[in-house]
Amino acid sequence: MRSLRVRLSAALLAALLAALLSISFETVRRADAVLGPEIERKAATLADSSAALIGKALALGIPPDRLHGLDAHFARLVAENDDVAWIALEGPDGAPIQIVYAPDGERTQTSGVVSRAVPRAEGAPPLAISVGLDPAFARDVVANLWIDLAIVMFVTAVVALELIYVGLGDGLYAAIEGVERRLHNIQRGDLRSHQPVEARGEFGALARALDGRIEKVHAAYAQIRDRAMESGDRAARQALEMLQDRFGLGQMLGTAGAGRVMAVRAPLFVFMLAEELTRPFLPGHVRALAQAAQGEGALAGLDPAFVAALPMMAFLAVVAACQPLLGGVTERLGRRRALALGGAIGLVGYAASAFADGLVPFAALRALTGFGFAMVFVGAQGYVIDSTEPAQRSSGMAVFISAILVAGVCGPPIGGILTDRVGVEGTFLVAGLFAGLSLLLAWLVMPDAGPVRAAGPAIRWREFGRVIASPSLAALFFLCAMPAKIILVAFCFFLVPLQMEALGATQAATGRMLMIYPIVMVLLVPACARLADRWRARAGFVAVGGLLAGASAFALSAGGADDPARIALMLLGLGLGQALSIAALSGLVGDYGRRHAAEVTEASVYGIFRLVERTGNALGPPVAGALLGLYGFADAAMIVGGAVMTCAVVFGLAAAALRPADLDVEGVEG
Amino acid sequence: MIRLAARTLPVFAAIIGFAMALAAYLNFSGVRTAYLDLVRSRAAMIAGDIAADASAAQGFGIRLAEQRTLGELLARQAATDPLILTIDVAGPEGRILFSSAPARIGALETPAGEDPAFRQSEPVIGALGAPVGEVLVRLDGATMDATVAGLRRDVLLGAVPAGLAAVAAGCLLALALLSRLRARARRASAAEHADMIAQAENEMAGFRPSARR
Repeated sequence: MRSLRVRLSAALLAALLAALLSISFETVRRADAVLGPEIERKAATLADSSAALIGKALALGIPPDRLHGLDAHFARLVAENDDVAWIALEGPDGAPIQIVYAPDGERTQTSGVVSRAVPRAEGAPPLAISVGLDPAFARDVVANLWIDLAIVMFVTAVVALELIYVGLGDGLYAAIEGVERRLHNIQRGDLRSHQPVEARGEFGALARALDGRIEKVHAAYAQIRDRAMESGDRAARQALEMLQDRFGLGQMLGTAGAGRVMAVRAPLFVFMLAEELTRPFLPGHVRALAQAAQGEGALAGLDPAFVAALPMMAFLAVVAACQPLLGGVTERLGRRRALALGGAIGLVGYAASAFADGLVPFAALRALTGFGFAMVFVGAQGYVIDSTEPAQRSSGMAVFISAILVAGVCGPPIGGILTDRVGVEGTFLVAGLFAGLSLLLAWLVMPDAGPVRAAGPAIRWREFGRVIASPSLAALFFLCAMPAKIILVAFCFFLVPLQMEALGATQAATGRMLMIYPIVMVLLVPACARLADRWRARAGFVAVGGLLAGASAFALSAGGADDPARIALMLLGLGLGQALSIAALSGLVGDYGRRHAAEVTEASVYGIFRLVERTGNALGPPVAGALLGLYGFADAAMIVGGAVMTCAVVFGLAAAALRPADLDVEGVEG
Repeated sequence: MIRLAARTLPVFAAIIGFAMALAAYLNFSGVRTAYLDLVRSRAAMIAGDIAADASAAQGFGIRLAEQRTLGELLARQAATDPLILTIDVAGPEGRILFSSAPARIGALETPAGEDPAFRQSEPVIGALGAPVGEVLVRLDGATMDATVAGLRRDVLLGAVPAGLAAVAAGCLLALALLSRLRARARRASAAEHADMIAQAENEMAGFRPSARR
C-alpha cells in the first residue's frame, strides 16, 4: 500500500496545485481591482504630504536645489511603502529637476503616476511631486502567500496519506494492500505464501486468485521435492534448494500486522497534530500570560522566561508521570476507549485553553491536556503491542512513530499560519477540534477489543533500582537519553519560538522553522538505524549523534542569534545529530538490558528508559527558561549544547574504555 | 469500482475541500490585510501630518486649544477623501477641540470599542516631549466592510469551482490508480501470465528426479 498511498498523495497534490493556481490567478485579478484605487489614494496622500513639506521649506527661502535631506526622505518613503516604485520632485515640463528616488536609480514602468503641485510663492516656477505606483504590488501580495499555500498543499497531501485508511475502511484497505504486496513480491521473484485476505469484494477476490497461483507453484514444488527425496537424487535436491532460496518456495510470510496496526494511525496522528499546532505560539503566549501575572504581583522576583516555562513543564511532567501508570489503565479500559477518552480530554483541554486568561488556569489546563495526551499515547502504543507478535513489533512501532513524526512535520507550519490569521485563541479551538476528531476516528476505525485484565505495572520500583545500578545503563540513560530530550524540548519547543518572536518573525515563519527538525528525522532516521546496525556501531552512533546535536548550538556563536539562517542551521544540526542517535539509542537499551540487567524484563528496561526520556522532556522548559532569563538566547542554547556535548564525550570515552567488558554491544543483528 | 468510488470520494472530497477552503481563506486574508494596511497607512499619514503641524505650533508656544486654523485644515483634508468620516483633534482628556464636523466639537471622543468607524490616531507632542492631545482620523467602516465582503465573496466564488474541479480530478486520479492496480492484478492472476510465477513453473518443469545416486 505504501507506493499506492504515495501515488494517491501525489495525484491529490497535483489536483490541489492546479486548483490553487486557478484560485491565485483569480485572486490577483480581484486584488488589482480592490487595491488599485486604494493605492492611488494613498499615493495622492503621500504626494500631498511631501508637497506640503517641501512647500514649507521653500517658503522659508531655501532654494529647490538646496533641499538637503530630501533624498533620504524620499528613500524612506519608498522603503516604507511597498506599493510605491519611485518618487520625484519635478519641474514644469515634467522632467526631474531635483531629486528622483528609485531603488534601481531610475523611474521604472509603473501602473500609474500621481502628481501634486508643491505650494509656492506667486510667480515662482511651479514644482510637483510625482509618485510612481508599483505595478507588481497586487501580484506580490498574492505571491507572498505562496509559501504558506505550498505548505497547506503539502500538509494536505500528507494528511490524505494518513487518512486513506479511514476512507477505504479496514477490509478494503487490507485487500488493496494485499494485492499490491503480492504483485510487488511476484515482480521481485519472491513467491512466498501470504496470509489470506479475508475481505470480500473485487480486490479480495484478486488477492485470493494470486494466492491460488502461488499455492499452485508451492504444491508443484512440494511434489517435485518429495519425489527427489524419494529418489535420493542429490543433484536434484541441491537444485531444488537453490530454487527454494531464489523464490521462497515452501515458505510463508509472517502476519502482516501493519493492517491491524494501521487502525490506530489516523486517531493518533490527528491528536498529535492538535498538540503540534500549538508549538509555534505556545512559549510566547505563556510568556505574555506570565508577564501579566507578574504585573499583578504573582511570582514576583522570578524571571518571566522561567515563569513561562512552568505551564509547559506542567504538560510534560504530567505526560512523564502518567505514562508508567496509564499502561494498566488503558488495558483495563480497552485501547479504543482509552484513545477516545484521551481525545475527549484533549478536546476540553485545548478548547478551554483558548479562554484561559490567567497563568494558573492555563497551567492547569495544560496539565489536563497532558493527561489526555498521555492517555492517547499510551493507549496507541498498547494497541500496537496488542496487535502485533513480537516479530512484527518493530514494524508496528514504526507505524506508531512515523504518525507522530509526520504530525511533527505538519503541525507547526499549519499552527503558525492559523495563529497569524485567527490568533492564539482560534488556533487552540482548531486544536480542540482535531482532538475531538481523533476521538471520533478512534471510535469509528479502531476495533473494540474490550477491556482486558491488566498484566501488572509496566515498571516496578525495585526493577528501577536494578537497572540504574548498572553503570552502562545508567550512563546510557543519564548521559544520552535524558540530555537528548532536554536539548530537543529546550530548542524546538521553547527557545527557538521565543527567539523568532523576539526577531519579529510571523508565527508562520516560526512554524516553518520548526519543520526542519522533524523533516530531518523523518528522512534520515531509517537510514541511520540501518547503518548503525550494519556497522555494529550503536554506541558510536549515540556518542557522535549527541556530540553533533550539542555542537549545533554553536551555530549561534558570534552574533548568530539574530540570524534566522543560523537558527535554522542549529535545528538542522540538532536533527542530524538526533537522527544518528535516536534509533541506535533505543537499540542499545535492549542490548545493555539483556547484558547488564538480565533479571529485569526487557519491557521494564524500556519502560524505565521511556520514563527517563519523559523526565528529560519535562526538565527541558525549566532548564531553558532559567538559562534564557540569566544569559539570553544564544548563551542559553550554547550552555545546553555544551552540556550535551560533554555528556556525549563522557559516554563515548566510557564506551571505548570499558569495551568489551562492560559497555560493549552484543547481539546486534546484522 | 462504483463501490470503491463511493468509498473514496467522501474522504477525498473532505480533504480537498478543507485544503481549498484554507487556501481560499489565505488568499482572501492576504489581500484583506494588504487593503487594510493601505487604508491604515494613508490615514496614519494624514493624521501624522496634522499632528506634526500641531506639534510644531505647540513648540512655538501656541497651545493646542488656541490653534484656530486647525479647524479649516481638518475640513479641507476631510473633503479630499470620500472615505473619511471625520478628522478630530482632541485634548489630553479626550474632549474634541477641533473637528472637520463642527457638531463634534466639545464632545468626548467615542471609545474605540463603541465606534463603528475605522480609526487611526497620532499623538500631538508638546514642547516637553509629552503628548498634549491626539489627532483622530475616522474612516467609513461600513464602506470598508462592504469592500472586504465583496472580496470575500469573489475569492469564495472563484474557489468553489476550482475546489469542485480539484475534487473531481483528485477522485478520478485516485480511481485511475486503483483501476491500474486492479488491471495489473487481473493480468497477474491469469494462469497463463508470463511473470516470475511462470518462470518458477518453467524451471520446475525441467526437474525429472533420476534414480538414487
